[in-house]
Amino acid sequence: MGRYMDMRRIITGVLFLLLLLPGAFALGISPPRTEPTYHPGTTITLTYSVRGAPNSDIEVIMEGELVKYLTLLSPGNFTLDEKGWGTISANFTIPVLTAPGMHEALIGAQDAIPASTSTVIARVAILSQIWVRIPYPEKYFDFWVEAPNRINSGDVITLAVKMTNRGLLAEHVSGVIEIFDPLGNSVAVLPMTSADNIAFGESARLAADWPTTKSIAGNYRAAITVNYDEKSSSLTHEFTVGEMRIEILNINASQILKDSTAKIPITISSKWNGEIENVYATIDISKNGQQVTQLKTPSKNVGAWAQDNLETYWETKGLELGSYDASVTLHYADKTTAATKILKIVEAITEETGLQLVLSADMLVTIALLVVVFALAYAFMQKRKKQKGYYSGYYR
Amino acid sequence: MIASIIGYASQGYFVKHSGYAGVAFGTAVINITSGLSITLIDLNISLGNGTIDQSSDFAILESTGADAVNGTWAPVNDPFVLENGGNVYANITITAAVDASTWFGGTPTYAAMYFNYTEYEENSCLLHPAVGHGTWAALPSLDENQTCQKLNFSESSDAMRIDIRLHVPADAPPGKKENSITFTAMQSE
Repeated sequence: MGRYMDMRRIITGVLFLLLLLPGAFALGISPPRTEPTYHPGTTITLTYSVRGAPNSDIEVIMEGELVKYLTLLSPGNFTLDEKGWGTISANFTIPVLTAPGMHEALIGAQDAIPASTSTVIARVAILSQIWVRIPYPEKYFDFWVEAPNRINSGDVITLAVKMTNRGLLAEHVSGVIEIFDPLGNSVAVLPMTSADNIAFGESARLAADWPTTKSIAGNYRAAITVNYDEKSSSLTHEFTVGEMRIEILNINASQILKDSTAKIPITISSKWNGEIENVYATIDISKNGQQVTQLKTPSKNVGAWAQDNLETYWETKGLELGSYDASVTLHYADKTTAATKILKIVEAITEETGLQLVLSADMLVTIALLVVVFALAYAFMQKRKKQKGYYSGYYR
Repeated sequence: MIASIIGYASQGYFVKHSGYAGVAFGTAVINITSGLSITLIDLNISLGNGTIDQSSDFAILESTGADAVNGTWAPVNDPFVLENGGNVYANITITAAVDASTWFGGTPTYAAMYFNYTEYEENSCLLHPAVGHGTWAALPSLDENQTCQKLNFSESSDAMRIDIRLHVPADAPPGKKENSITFTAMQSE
């Protein structure tokens, strides 16, 4: 886009409203998945319950690789009843399939887009899966790791793999897990449980427990190897071991107005995978080694892995200008965390340093006016500069 | 927790009488049917009115609360929030009916839209795709763009947040801009 276009460009006003429909949209379908046994040529009738907002208009949707084998028996558009229920029914004829693996047709419902003045419509759709599986001509499994992502130090973590056979019979399945600590060191090798004679369509669950006692906090990696007869597969799972510790991230104060009541917010972050009750902080404020006052925040409960704020107020009336040492001690469970900060009592705030800034209304108005004046002046200068550039270029 | 408005359950009840006088054994059988359900809890994103800076080729607006770039739109923190109200894990995709250049008009190379999803409730998404989780991913038209591949259904961990970023060309004509964004759910695993 050249300067000429810039000059001609009219400031464009655009209004974007994403959806103006009231309330919430919800849609549900049951069953969410059907897995008919592979019998080519067989026709099955499928019936689905659909639920949503009462009296809402619904469109039936059908898609997927096997959609041409679906025949809709119920209307393609319908209205849910006054309780929000409706029904979809369809015939599905299982075709002849040769490629191993999963083949899919999808049938479901979506909100019919209403006629409205909205600029954008947001809506929901739900699809029920019809899965036809053809066995692989080899030993073949699908795997899912089932394990928590976070755990507390001292707890036992159960690492499990769910595996479903999609191919030939596996006579024996087993596994082993190697765990690496945050520094990348191998800290444990764990044999998993085993299972025998897993046929096509059947599942097994292999698991191992690891006690995290004496483990350092941080991010761990579990390298999982699953063996099924002569074959094997590798999986990984990462998890965090937490500790009963709350960090002080920031003491959001540095300059304090003389003769004011200043808020002192403290941002904290929990490293524990659970709520910690009765968390509070004390702030010992001293000058030249002599304690001036001690402040205390109200207590609160801090959620698992949560970042939160504690705050209290410091009355500086009558205190002399200058630097004060603030020693913050966080109290929780039977533990403490400490941090320090220098607070300065000043006549006027010279720059914004934190949320505690207290600016008078007159100062705010003055600042706002200055910003507007500078913005207008800058815009005017830019416009003149472009005009000059355009015309000088035109006549050259 | 966001209350679910969808649920599936069917139940049966059987009572078995013993041969002993005065003693009865009751057996209650409840069969919970699996159901897939999603709820778009917060379906209003209003980015409001604004103008594009004269010297810019396009403006960037987003629903995350970030300041608009090259435009006068006020920051808006107003995402979509999607909840899994069923009792199976859900795989969520997002699709736009038309692409950004068709949507906005103006110079096509300056038009774009992106999505970015995060966990609205802790541990709500148990399996992430390569892009889109906490990062901006392009949202072309008609493609089913993968977001959370395994949205949890447990009560306190079943909601995800989807933000939208728009690149609006400066020469886009003013007026109504129509599009539709569809969130589609299928059972995961």
